[in-house]
Amino acid sequence: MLAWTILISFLGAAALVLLPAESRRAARHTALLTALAGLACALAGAVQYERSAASGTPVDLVNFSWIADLHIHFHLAADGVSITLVLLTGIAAVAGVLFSWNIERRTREFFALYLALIGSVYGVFLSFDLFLLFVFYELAIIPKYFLIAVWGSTRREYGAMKLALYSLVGSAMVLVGLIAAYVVSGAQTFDLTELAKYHFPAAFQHWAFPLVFVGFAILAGLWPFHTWAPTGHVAAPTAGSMLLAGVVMKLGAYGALRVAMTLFPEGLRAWQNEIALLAVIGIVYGATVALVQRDLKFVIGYSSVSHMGFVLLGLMTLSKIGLSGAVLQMFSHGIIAGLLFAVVGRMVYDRAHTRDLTELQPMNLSALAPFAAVTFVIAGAASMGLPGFSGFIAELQVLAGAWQVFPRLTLLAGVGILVGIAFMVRVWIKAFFAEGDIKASAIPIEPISMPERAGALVLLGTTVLIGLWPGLLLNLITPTLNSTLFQGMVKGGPQ
Amino acid sequence: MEPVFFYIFAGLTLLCGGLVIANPFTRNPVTSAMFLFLTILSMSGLFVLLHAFFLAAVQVLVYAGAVMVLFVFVIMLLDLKEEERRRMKLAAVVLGAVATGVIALAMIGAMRHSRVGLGLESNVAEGSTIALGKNLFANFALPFELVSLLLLVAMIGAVLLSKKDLR
Amino acid sequence: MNLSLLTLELGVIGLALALLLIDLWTPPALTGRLGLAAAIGLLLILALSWNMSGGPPVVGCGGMFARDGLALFFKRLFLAVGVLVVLMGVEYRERLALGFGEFNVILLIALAGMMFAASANDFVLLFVAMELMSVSFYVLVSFQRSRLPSLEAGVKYLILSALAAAFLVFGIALIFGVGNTTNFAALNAEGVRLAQDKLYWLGLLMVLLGLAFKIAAFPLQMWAPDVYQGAPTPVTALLAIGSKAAGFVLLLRVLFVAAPVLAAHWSKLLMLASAVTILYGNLCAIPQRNLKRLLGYSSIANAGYLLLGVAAVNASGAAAVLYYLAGYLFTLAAAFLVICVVMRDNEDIGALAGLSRRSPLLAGALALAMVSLAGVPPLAGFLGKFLLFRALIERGAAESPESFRSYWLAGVAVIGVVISLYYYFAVIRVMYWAKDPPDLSPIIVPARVQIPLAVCLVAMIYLGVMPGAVLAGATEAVKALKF
Repeated sequence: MLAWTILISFLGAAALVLLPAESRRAARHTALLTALAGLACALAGAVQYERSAASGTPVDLVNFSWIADLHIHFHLAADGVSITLVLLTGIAAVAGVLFSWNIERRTREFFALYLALIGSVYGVFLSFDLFLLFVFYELAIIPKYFLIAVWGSTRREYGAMKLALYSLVGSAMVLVGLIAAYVVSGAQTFDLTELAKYHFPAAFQHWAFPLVFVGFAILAGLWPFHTWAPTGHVAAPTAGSMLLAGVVMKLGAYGALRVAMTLFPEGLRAWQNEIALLAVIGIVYGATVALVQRDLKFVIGYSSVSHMGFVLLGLMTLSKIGLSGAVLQMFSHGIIAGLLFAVVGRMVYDRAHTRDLTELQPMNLSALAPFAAVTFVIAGAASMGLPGFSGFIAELQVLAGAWQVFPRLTLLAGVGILVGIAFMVRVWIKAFFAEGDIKASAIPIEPISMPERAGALVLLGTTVLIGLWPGLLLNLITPTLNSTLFQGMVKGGPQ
Repeated sequence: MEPVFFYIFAGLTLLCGGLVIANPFTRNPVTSAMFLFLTILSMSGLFVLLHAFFLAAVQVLVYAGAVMVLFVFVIMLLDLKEEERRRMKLAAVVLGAVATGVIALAMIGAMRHSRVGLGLESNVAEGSTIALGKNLFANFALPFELVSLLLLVAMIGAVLLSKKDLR
Repeated sequence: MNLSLLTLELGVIGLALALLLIDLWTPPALTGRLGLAAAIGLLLILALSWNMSGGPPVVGCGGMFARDGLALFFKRLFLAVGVLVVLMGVEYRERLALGFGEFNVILLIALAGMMFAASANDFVLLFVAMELMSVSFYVLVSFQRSRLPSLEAGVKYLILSALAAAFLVFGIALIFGVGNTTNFAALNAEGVRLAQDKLYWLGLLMVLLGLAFKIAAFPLQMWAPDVYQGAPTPVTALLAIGSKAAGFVLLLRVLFVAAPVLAAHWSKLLMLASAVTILYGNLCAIPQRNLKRLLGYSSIANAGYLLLGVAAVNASGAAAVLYYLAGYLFTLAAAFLVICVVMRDNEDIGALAGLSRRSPLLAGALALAMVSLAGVPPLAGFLGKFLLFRALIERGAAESPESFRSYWLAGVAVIGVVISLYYYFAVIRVMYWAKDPPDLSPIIVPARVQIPLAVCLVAMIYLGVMPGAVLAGATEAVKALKF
């Protein structure tokens, strides 16, 4: 069931290419249908997985020999972690289409690239052959680049090229590490479960781990390699930033967990403290820089760096609670950041034609667009990590896990949370609730459309649902962390 | 006696070859051409020492004769004054000297570790026209025939590139 | 001399001579047909080559000419290039000032030279085959003699090629002096004894220098951009693909048939040459505005990548070289076909502006070619680079698997790949969203371009997605080599 998500997305992209160029309506509907079908497959697959295995072991979806000479298999499989992220991708994809409803320029090509990106992301999350994973990972670079470079806004070509180069540097590092693992293991296989059984020499792990981990973590916004993230987010079109923050950054974190940490547990332990330090620096740095930004999108962009820091910190705890917190935070941040970017990029920027906080201040947006204001306030509250939203339970788990290993760093991360609250309140006040000089009626503003409301409700509903009932996802994640794949890395940390 | 002649001819080849490209006294192309003629002549002397009489004769006939005459014809059509005014560039001289030095050093270094005989062990039978013909038409027939193709290309090319009317 | 060994080569030469004669009686209006006839002839010979596969390796013609899997693989490659380049020439016909008939004849003879090079098992045949190519290229490069850049490129190619040939001949003379033979197999048989003689090392080193010119690798790479830019586009394509592939098959034969004993010692040297070539090509390509010149620098960079496979000194490295060349063939052929059609008198990248609207097919083909060159999956270029890296890392792991130092070259190559993304994507960017394209008139693409272009695109994707068959062929082909 889950494997269909990939196929459906690429088929949707192909169908869009074949559509006549003028039919914008048909393009939108095809894209929405494809995204919905993908989400439906993901949900059905998740339910099916939970009912069948429940023990957390990976379930093979597809497995056939692809390049026989190199022992490369087309091997798709899923466990709780990957299913969580597939669900996230499905939801983000649907919301992204809804928030791109107003794209008029080359609609067909936009959605074709968009679906190709979604398809590759599904592919990364479901690949259990590392070569295949890498192919999907690289495949995502092209649509990413063109979505930003063609349909983006501020300094789009710079942002697009920066993102593409950073991704490529990261994936190149990963490639060297992967091939080295393939060769050194002597097993001549890229199969994740096979390679995970092999014990790599310690000296090898000591350089291979940081190589592969950082290669992936570049895309997860690891400080100091995060600089692509703010510029990329700002340059991207609304759906582009939603996907970048919501899904693409997760590719990096997922790869770091699935590949680097699984294959090289000894290297992981050797570098654990250093990477945790970088993660905490990212948390504090991102939040602090967000505090002083004038461009609303930059604020959200830097807040993404901060929140992804929690994911990386959670990964470095090497305890079950921290890891499950990290995975949950991936999901939660994907939803919340997507929502924030949707409000800022689509609801505010497309109407007010500015994202500058000092220019937004007099507009009194809360009166002009109450729906946008309410959505943003709720999303902001979720982003702060208030109870009742998914972010709360995720960050709580991460901090609880981190407290046992790095108490001092955890205090620092707590400071990061406080700064996070501060910048969000600042944005609330400045962007939406400042006393405006301009009368609400003075600016003609188009009403918030149906697709936007639907998209916002999907995302809001998800974050509240998981916030109130985290067991929905934790039931998927926790058993998985007990499986053999994660034993190597969890063993070292406290239980 | 043979070693003495070898050093004479080899020295002459090197000296004249050097004067072809970098003559400190004159920049006249005709002088260069004449030194080239001398270089070829002393090389044919080396062939004689190897008892390769046929090759020595061909060397004189083809290179010193035909090719050199062609060179001189072409030089006559050029404006010699302009050539003479051209100065040697210091960078080019230094670069050339460095390149020559490196290759010479590599050669000398390699030869000191080489076990190849230093004497002139020539074989009269191998140098004869019969032996050469047999080699060319038996062992080396394929490359020999390919050279004919090469000449065809050269001919077509020469005609095409120098033809007067562009059709 | 066993002529049946030479069937394919004789076919090409016969085709060339027949064209030369038929051209005499063909009215100028119909010469275009001659080009198509040449392409069909080459296709038939290509089909014939499948009739020759299988069977044990044979060495004939006085031990000079080897017919083995390696030779056959490269001959098919050359014939495929030949077909594509001849069709390109038909498209380019009006822009050639001189006889189109002779153009095809010389092109075919250059092709025959490459095919002989693929089979060379003796330094004499190696040299003659290389000269056959070189002399043909002297004429082809300066074919548009009324265009100054073409003439300049021709002179540049002539002088530098002569320099490279001098190194080659000197090297061969030294090898003959020490080994008393020019035959690869005989030299290999004496390999251990000869390896003790430094003069032999020097001779081989000079031969490698001569070959470095053909593949446009450091330190004899500087001719490539100028010549690529100045030469007529079909000739550039043949230089970039055919001449480079011929250089590599000779390099493989010299290193791994004639001197496998020394090749193992020279891994480090080759790695160094490869690293410098990759960085030089990629860094110099960044500021280029002329697309053919850019491809010239990119071809230097690609020579560097290919050298990785040679420097790995193992079977998977050699197989990777073969695979990469196959992918490179179709990728570059697609790019040059588009250049041939679109860039009539302006070769600046800016002339591509708005191509996506003028002809979606051409824009898509060039975009795909650039993406493949940048090494992004799922295209041929990615898999080729992957195989090269794998071979290189295998080499490093064989030395010392744990230390990162044995993988340094992979790091350099990776940096090169990242740099290259910048300039390849710039080309795509211009085609798809240049601001205010000056010319939006649609381009009509004739069928004689559409069909080869489609073949190139399909091959590019096929080689990227289903590498099995060709990779197996390459692995089989390199069994002729010793490591």
